[in-house]
Amino acid sequence: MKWLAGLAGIGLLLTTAAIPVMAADPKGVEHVVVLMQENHTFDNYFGTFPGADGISEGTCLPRSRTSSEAGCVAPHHVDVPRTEDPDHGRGTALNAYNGGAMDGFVWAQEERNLDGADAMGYWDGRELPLYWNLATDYVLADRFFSSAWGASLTNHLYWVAAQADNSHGGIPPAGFDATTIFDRLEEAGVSWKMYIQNYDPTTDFRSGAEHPPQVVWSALLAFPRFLDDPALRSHIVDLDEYFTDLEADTLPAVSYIVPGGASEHPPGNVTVGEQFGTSLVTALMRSSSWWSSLFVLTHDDWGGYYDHVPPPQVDADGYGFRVPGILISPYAKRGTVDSTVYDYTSILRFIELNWGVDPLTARDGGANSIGAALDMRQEAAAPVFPDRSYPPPQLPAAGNRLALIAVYAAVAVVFAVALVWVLVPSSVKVVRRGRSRAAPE
Amino acid sequence: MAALAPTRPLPPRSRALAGVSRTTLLAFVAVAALVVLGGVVRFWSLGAVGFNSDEAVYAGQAAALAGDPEYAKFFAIFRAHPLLVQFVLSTAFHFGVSDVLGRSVMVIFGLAAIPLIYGLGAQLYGRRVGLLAAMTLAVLPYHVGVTRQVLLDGPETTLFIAAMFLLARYVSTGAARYLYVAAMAAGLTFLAKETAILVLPVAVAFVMMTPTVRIGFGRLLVATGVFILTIAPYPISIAISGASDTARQFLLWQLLRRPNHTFSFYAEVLLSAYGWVLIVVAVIGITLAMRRALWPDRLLLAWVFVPLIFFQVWPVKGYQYLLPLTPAVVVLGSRALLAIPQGLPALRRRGGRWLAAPITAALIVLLLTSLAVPTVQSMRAVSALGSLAGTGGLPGGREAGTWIDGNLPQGASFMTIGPTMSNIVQFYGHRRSRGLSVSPNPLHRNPAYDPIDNPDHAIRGLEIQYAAFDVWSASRSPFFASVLMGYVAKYHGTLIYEQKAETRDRSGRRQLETVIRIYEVRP
Repeated sequence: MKWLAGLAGIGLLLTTAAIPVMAADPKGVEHVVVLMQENHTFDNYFGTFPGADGISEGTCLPRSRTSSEAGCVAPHHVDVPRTEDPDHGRGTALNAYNGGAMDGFVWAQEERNLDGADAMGYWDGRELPLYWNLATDYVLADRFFSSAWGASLTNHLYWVAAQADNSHGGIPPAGFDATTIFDRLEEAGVSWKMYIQNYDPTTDFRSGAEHPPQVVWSALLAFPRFLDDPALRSHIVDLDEYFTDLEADTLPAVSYIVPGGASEHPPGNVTVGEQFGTSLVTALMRSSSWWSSLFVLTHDDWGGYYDHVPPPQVDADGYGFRVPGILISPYAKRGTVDSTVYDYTSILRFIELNWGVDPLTARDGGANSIGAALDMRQEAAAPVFPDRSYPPPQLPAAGNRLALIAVYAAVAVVFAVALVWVLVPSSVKVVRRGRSRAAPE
Repeated sequence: MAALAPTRPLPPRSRALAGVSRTTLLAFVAVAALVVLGGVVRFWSLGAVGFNSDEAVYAGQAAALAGDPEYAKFFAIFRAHPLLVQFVLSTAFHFGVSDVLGRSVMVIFGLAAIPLIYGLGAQLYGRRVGLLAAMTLAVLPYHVGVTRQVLLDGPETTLFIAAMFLLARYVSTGAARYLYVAAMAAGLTFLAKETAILVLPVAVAFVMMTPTVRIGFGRLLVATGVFILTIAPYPISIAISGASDTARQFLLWQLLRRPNHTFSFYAEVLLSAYGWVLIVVAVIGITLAMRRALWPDRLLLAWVFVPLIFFQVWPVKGYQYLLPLTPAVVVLGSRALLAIPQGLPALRRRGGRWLAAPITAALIVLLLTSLAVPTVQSMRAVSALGSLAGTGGLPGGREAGTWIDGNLPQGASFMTIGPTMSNIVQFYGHRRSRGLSVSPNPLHRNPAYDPIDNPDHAIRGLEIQYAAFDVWSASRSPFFASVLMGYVAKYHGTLIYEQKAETRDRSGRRQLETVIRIYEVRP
């Protein structure tokens, strides 16, 4: 049965040198990676996503606070990948909220001499196929609120410290001093890093009165404690290390990622930011860390764009408007829209519960953990790269295939019948001839 | 009890066979034995090496036709060829897609050629020629090698023999039904591979060269109608698939593309494919046929020369393209070999005649040995770098593809040197793959393949996450191999998998080398 051995492929191929990339060895969540992109609401990115709480039909928001004659602006698809940068400060946010009426998004911009129509634009799977496919394949949270009214800085403080820490007026001259999740992790001996795209180590809150994005969006670069302690500062690194850590299997337990130019902050190109964010997800998917990971992809504030869900008010800071939240993990409840109420402190809550550290404030202590989007009882799922088109290409219709089979089958059958028709009579003749010859014997 | 034996009635089967002459029975047994022999050399280690590029495409089409979504994503059912072979394969693939199963179907097609060529040879020149032709085809390395692969040429050849056999039956019997079924077989030959349209000029040339063969207008009309009806699935499938543009583009591309081999390609290749003994006897057979020029000779001469001239002139050349004319070569060679002893002056003299049988036997042994030895060697041989397409599987491809399928994320996409490795990645790895050597210019590429218009953009835009380097493509396209490695270096390429296999270098030495390397790339 030597040929059987051949069939089994034992032939020419003698050795295989495989460097293990992924081994399905589920261990629970050992790595949390959080990417905080910039300035979009849920409705702005996912307002027309199937199955999510999106934009209602007939929505049209007034151009004027007082006069209905100014008309209204309906939500509309934006077919270019950028808009101007709508105002997204705290005051504008509260105007847009309008005491819960959620009808001030257009006039709040117009009153600042900006085009209110920009606030009502939205993108969908045509411009954001990677995000939409990730949301389809994993968990899309449609009750993920920004932690505070207004813009980046306060929300980033909530992201690391579950409090505003006097950030409403900007970065205080002495910087921030709140206890952060990283202090907790240090105490517990849990590894962490903050990866910053295009990190410039010479730039922090002391560098000048104008604070560049890397200072505002990381928040830690405005904490003297993290700047002056070399041990703590060594955790703040360039984003390149994220990739080398994944390759070397040294990804820390908690990774915060701060974007640079690909942040999706208007008027930036949203597709560039989408590719950047997805590249971080797919890098994790390609690594052995995938099997015990949770990647949280969210945005730091509303950016001035419309969202129709009034945010629950838990304290004086917020919640602010909904932001996109995609939760990606081998344990994710795949293909679901999760309507649990989350904010940025829900990420902190998950970290605290997962590594057994205390809450930082009442806000994170009372927040729902994003772990609700996971099902740790299920087998860890192999990763799925998002397709670059939404919806992904469909297979050809089965009807065409069956029609093809039918015509070829018809010809094959007719030929078989015809062969019998011509060959059987001649065979019979041969036999008869033989019999007649054999008869005298 | 022994005394009763002669009076015992024959069992039904024996009674059935009682009417068949002893010679017919012996011929049947001999042909059956040759089919078994042909089966042994074709099935031996059939799955030792995985698919090559063409096999992956045809099997992928068949799997898509069988409704397997894992293949339908990557292999469009309609590319350019008619789909008879893929249709037959797809019926087998309903039981599961596997390379060994696919090749087994091709082997069965190949084995069917053995009794058919016996019938043809017997029809044209008698049973001895038929038997020797069947014996030759059973172990002919060219036929064995091609019919061990999922290629269209094996089934095409079998159906070509069927068409010619039926045509010969028509000429010898005058019964119209043979003509009509021959037309149907010719149509099926075309449905196996579109280049088999040559069956028509072969038949026309034969009829025009042979005044004794007369086909009435009515019969010709019916036969033409049968042929057109038989090939109807091809235009119908184009219409159904909405692929008429693709078919047109493919035809244009084939017509206008630069020659892929030199003018002397077939002369070089066929020596190893046929062996010098067969070539010598075939040349003698052709000479004898031209001298005798009876209708069987003319039929075979038309069958040899029409396709040979066409493929010699056609810019695209392929190792397996001449397989359909091989049966004619084999029959002519077999006839010549059996005629040689009778033609030798020394054997014509009284006293020398007894030598004819041993000389014939010696020639047959020489012919079969010259064929069987390379056939057995090719079954055990390892592939050489720069091997011709169509000569065998691609060592390491299946193993690398299977590793990709089991270890890399769904939805991942590959860049390869050329379409060869891409087809392997798509068939075994179930991941999208495109070759760098596929030209972005539609005039210079097979329309079935997608180019990577801008590799930098594709990597930066997350369209491509992996690069697969293989030594087979690198030996054919060193330029694109260096381009691929350039992108690997530029985009943080990390080696994640290596596949080793035994190969032969250009001097013929066996060596164990890394044949495939897979890299991660990222912006």
